[in-house]
Amino acid sequence: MVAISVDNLSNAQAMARNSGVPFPILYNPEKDVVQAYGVLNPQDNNLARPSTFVIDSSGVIRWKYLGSTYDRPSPQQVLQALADISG
Amino acid sequence: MKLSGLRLTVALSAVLLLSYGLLACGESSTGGDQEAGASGAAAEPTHTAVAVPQANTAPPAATQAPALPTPQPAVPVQPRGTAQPRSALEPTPTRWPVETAASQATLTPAPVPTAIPVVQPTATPESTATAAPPTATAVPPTATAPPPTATAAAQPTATAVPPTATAVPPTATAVPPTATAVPPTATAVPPTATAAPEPVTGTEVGQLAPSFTLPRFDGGEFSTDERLGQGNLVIVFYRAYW
Repeated sequence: MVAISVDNLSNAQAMARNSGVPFPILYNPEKDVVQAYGVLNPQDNNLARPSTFVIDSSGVIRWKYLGSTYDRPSPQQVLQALADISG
Repeated sequence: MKLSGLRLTVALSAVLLLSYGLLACGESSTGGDQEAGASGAAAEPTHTAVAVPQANTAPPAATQAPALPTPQPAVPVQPRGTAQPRSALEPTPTRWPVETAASQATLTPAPVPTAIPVVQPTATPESTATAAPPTATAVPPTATAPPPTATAAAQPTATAVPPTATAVPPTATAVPPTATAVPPTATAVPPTATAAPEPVTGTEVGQLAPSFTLPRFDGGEFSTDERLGQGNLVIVFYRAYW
């Protein structure tokens, strides 16, 4: 699992320190990757929409969730999607 | 003098009688044999005179009967009047055979010349036949003239054929490529079969996720291409630090 934002490096480091997550945090101030996945929200200061993509080992998208501003999928939904791929 | 005159008259009468005999033999075509005994060697000319006396008609026939008995008694007087005309008749029988001979001669030669002309025309055909050969010989030159043209035409055509023959092989060689072109299409089928599951790059489920490489907050980079094949991947986009 990886997390991506349009923040710069300092904000990404602050995020990593404050959340304590074990996975890598990536930053994309150029916003090209965020736009490529179609989650750039011009109505929210060109920030990324809270979204989740489940991709299998072959690179194919197997599950996804597109949020608005503050909503996001539950941990159970993501685990279920991973379970469906492995099953 | 009287005796000599009598002898002359007797001789003349004898001559007349002989002439009468000849005439009689000529008139009696059928009964000539009776007179032949008296006339003797004169029977031969009667055949030639046979045709003529018939034309002279009756007078000799009437004289036939008196001719044999009259010679001796009627010698002196009567023969003079009749002797002259009869002597005049003598030459005529001699003329007739001559004329008939001439006419026969003219008749016989006539067919001969006609036969000759017949031969001549046949000879002229030969000349025409000989004339024809020249025309026939004239034809050969014309016949020989075409051959050059034929040979001239045949040679180019013969030379033209080889190129066409050489042109054929390329077409024949063109066939194998088509045959070789078939296998690629056959090989092209499997990829399409494998391409069916291959998804198009996009953001929808079932599509290939866009690949990227981004820096990590703790240094280094992360590449999706390097991550593929190692297991499933969850990408979370968050709004910002908060």
